[in-house]
Amino acid sequence: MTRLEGMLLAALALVAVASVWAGPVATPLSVLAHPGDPRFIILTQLRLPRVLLAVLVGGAMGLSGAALQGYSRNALADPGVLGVSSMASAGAVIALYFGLTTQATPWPLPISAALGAALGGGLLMALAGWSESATTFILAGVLLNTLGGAATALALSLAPGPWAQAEIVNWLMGSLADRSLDEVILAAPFILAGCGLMLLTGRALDALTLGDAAAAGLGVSLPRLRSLLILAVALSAGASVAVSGVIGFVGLIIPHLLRPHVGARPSALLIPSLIGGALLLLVADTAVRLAPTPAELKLGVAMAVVGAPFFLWVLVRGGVQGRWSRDA
Amino acid sequence: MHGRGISRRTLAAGGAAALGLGRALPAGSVPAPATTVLPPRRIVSLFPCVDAILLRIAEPGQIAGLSRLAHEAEVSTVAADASPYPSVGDNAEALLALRPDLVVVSAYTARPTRESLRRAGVRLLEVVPQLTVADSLAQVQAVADAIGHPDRGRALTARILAALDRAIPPAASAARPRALVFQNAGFVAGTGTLIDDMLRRTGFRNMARTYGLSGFGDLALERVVADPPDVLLAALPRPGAPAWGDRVLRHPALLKLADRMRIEPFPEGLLLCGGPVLLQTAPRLAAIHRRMTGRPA
Repeated sequence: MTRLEGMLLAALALVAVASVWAGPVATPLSVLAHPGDPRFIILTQLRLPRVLLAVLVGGAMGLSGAALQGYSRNALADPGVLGVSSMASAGAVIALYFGLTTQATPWPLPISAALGAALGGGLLMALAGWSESATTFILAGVLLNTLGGAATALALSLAPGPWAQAEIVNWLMGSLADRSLDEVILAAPFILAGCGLMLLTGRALDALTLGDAAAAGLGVSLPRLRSLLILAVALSAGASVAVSGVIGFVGLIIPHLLRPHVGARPSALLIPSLIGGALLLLVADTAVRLAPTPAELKLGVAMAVVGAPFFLWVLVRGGVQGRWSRDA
Repeated sequence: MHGRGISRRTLAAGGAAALGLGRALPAGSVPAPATTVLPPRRIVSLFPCVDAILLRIAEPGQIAGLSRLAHEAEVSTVAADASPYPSVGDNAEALLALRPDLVVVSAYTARPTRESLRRAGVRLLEVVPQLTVADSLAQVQAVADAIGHPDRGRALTARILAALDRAIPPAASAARPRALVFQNAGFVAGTGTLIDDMLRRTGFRNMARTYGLSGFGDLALERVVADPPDVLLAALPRPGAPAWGDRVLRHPALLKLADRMRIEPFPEGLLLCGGPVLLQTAPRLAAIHRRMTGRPA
């Protein structure tokens, strides 16, 4: 473990404890010794699942951003920016509102979200592979974002019930409020599998910095790497969106913040981005819970408020060309 | 809705407001009908709460169309009665094709639609959501006057008042259970809502007051767990049409409160409108109150 990873892990542990402790209802951690206390329920059934989900979802997004940026050699790659998350939300909404899930078998929800994400990822890679241009890549993302958002809104409008507008915003602007351990159990296997697969791509991503031909010479199969990445991002983004809705920008911000500290090798960025993403989302989720707003701020909104100016900064700085150019 | 900026709840409040829950407009009711106007013969209503009134007091032949939501059994208390009438949306073309001579519009009817109708020379009756029982009764009468049946309006308001009287708990019963209207992922009816007034009249304390909520708004589940009400008036998950929000009612943290908090089903339709809907809301709340305080029916 590098020193950076150690520091990030220590910070994550600290924030995790603080996050279980902090919320609108004052809860000393000592109530954990008294299972009869209602505050015990708050800590174990409401705050703990939230912390676990923030770590899982944030970690998956940070790692996905690092892997996608490494693969595409494009500094703007992130499942949210590229529309993979939007497509996942469309998949989740279709499963949820058209009766594919039941209380006993909720598994179609993350699976359908992952299929949506895989479709998005596949389309994206096809478009990005067809053109070397960063503009094409980002435009493909814009297209997928629009398509996924529209499909989500359409499905919700067609679904019966008066709450369509409420639910549309719920899915397009994610949140971790009032989630339970059931949702952790639902998402964790997919997210962990996706993250595991992404961590396997480090060597291939490093080779890719030498250019496609040189990477092929080193024994890296580009089609295989692409399929692996689509599968991994689909699993983790799909399951994340299925329980939290779309939360963007973590995958964009974290690799950028950490890259100066790890050097130019994409593989060195993967694990720090995993931990850093978890840390960022956990901090953000704790902040929205503590913010003195009458209704809790949506986590997706909070991330967008931070992420949008950052995105702009990346653009202004000329980050679109990325750290690693194709002819490097 | 309360200056919170864009949040799901804001839009939810918008959606709910479209159903008559809103508090965006000052209380008040319908403008007095123009004098010496003949009773309308083809009425179209775009406001679900007025649909319920029309179905009670208009001549069946007077109704040319009712709002889309009136036909949806999930939220409407009059879906069966509304079924013979065309369902209309906010679309001026389709509305004009019905050749209405009176259209009931609300602040939630799109402005261009209202203006198109006005330009076409159709008489409009503009209504606002009712925030108190008194407002709601005034609205019943105003609609009755506008459609030329003031006597039926008076008869209906008298029936509603009688139903409200029957729902008042006996003076001997001093218990005032704390109730919380809790719908779709923690959407809670606070003070200044029609249902808040109904809770007060039927012997409940609105727990949302304790939580400091006014209007319709969002409530974190941990507030409920920390200080639960005696009864949760919840919309039960709809079979076959699940909503993401429904899962909150199955949250393990809520289930753990089972020994301290009752959960009573409370259809969303009862939350949305006053007027004749109160004929159902009042006995429902009274029955829950009897169960809570152990009095025989």
